[in-house]
Amino acid sequence: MEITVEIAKMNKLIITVAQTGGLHGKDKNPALPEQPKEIAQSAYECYNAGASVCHIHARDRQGHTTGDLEIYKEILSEIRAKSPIITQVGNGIGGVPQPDGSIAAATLDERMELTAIEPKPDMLTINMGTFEFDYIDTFENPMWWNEEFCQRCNERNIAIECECYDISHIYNAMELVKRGVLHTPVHFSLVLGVTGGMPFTPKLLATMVDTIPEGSSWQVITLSKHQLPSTVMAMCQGANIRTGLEDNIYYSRGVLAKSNAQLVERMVKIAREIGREVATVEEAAEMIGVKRD
Amino acid sequence: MDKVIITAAITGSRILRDIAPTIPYTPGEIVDSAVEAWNAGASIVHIHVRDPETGLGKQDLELFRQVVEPLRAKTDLVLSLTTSGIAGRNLPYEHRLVPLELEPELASFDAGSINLGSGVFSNPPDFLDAAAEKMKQKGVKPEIEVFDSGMIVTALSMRDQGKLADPLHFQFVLGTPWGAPATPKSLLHLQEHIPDTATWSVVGIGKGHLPMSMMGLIMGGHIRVGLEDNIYLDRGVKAQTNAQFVERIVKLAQVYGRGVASPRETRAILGLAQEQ
Repeated sequence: MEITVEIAKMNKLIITVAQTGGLHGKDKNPALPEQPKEIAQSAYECYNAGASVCHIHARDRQGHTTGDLEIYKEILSEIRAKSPIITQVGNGIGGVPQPDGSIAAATLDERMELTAIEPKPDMLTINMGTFEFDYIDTFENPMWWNEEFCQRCNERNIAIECECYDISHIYNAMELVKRGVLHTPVHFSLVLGVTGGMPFTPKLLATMVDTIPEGSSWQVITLSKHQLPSTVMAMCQGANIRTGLEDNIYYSRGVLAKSNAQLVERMVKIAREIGREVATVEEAAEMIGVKRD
Repeated sequence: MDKVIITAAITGSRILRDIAPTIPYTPGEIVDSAVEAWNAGASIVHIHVRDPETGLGKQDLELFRQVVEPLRAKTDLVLSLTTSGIAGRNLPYEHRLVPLELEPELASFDAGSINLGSGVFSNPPDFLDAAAEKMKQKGVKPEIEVFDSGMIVTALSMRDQGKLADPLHFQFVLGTPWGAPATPKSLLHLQEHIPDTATWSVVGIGKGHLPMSMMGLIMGGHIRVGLEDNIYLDRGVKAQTNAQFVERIVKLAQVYGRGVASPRETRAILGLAQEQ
């Protein structure tokens, strides 16, 4: 898609915070929220700092990644009780510990059940292609499965975000549009730097952006040291950004982030200095097409 | 990643007070503005001088001297003097090269001809040869201004002929009418074509200035800002001083976590002789 460089003409900036993720935990950064009340408190702090979307993964009482709908229910209820932030559940769930001690991807059936979470999340993500996620396990996202997942989201009026880890994934999303299950404008997440997917360089990000159809919105997701350069680059191109301890446990080289909110605050500071206004929850909901009952 | 070098382009030779009421004209005003920019965090100033009466750009050795001498006395700034003179007016070569008599550490070297607004900014091969020769003679490092990719080809060819010496320093000037646009892809494309040993800085003209500054920041390049290139601080808000632009980049660099180079550090990064 064509991009403008005139910051004053850009849309307001939607900041998503990915607080928990489905891989590392408090062992990597003690500030990473795992339990529902912690997640809700952290979401509230991020909302106050300027985040309008909260990307959610669930952990069991021991902090292990889980697809347990009861825990999702608790998380969503706790978040809603504290702030109006837009809730977005990641449909990958994450790496689930197995009885033999290994980590395996959540099953397609478990993941499909996320479309039935109560209370209804505002958004769900779909992952637009199958690849070797971080060489941990094959992250399966077959076309037929994504199609059914989208249909179920549509039945409940849940907004969809398309995570694309490679160029072909963008085309897969457009195929879902063709099949009538994904509505335009499509909201893309360009995820760069996950081993097994597209690495991050400014040039590769620019190439991904070129491939997105006109009229779509996009945000960038990158991991660790790439997060700051990629988000700053995205901000200057009118895109949205994601930050948070799921993607990056550090604030600067060798220094752990103190909280998710600290990472959000830095994004807000940069946005203010370059003159990009930060979207409120209401504005973000309008832009993403989130429909609340 | 090296610390980021901020260059302030104080006045240029084209924008007049009808649209930029505070743009410096006299040597005294240029010096004051450069000192302010230095205090704000700039380590290089890019200098043009003007006829103090009319405000029109002028390649006058005495006027350059009236700027260079006070700046050398008051600051440790790296001085980059223009050899473009008045882009589009194409002054005689000897006028364009006159600031080199003052032996600045850097001087602009516009590595090719290009349309500029309604005129032509003329930099034919014989001028480039004369400029390179004189810069070598005076110990001045060329700041190779690149308005489009052919200018990189030209500079590399001159390097191969021994007329320019590695490590080269490039200044990408993007978003001029009608040069390469000030977009991330345009910058990425140009940057790919310079040698690994080269250093580079970027300036986006007008509305492209902040996005290009940020691309420079994240890509490990350096940044030029100032009233020569852009008179607006925000949409509809004119800048009062050059220092305002510098201050903003310093703040952004701090939040980003990339240090701002002092003039001493700038000399080390650019491989300039340490004698001040």
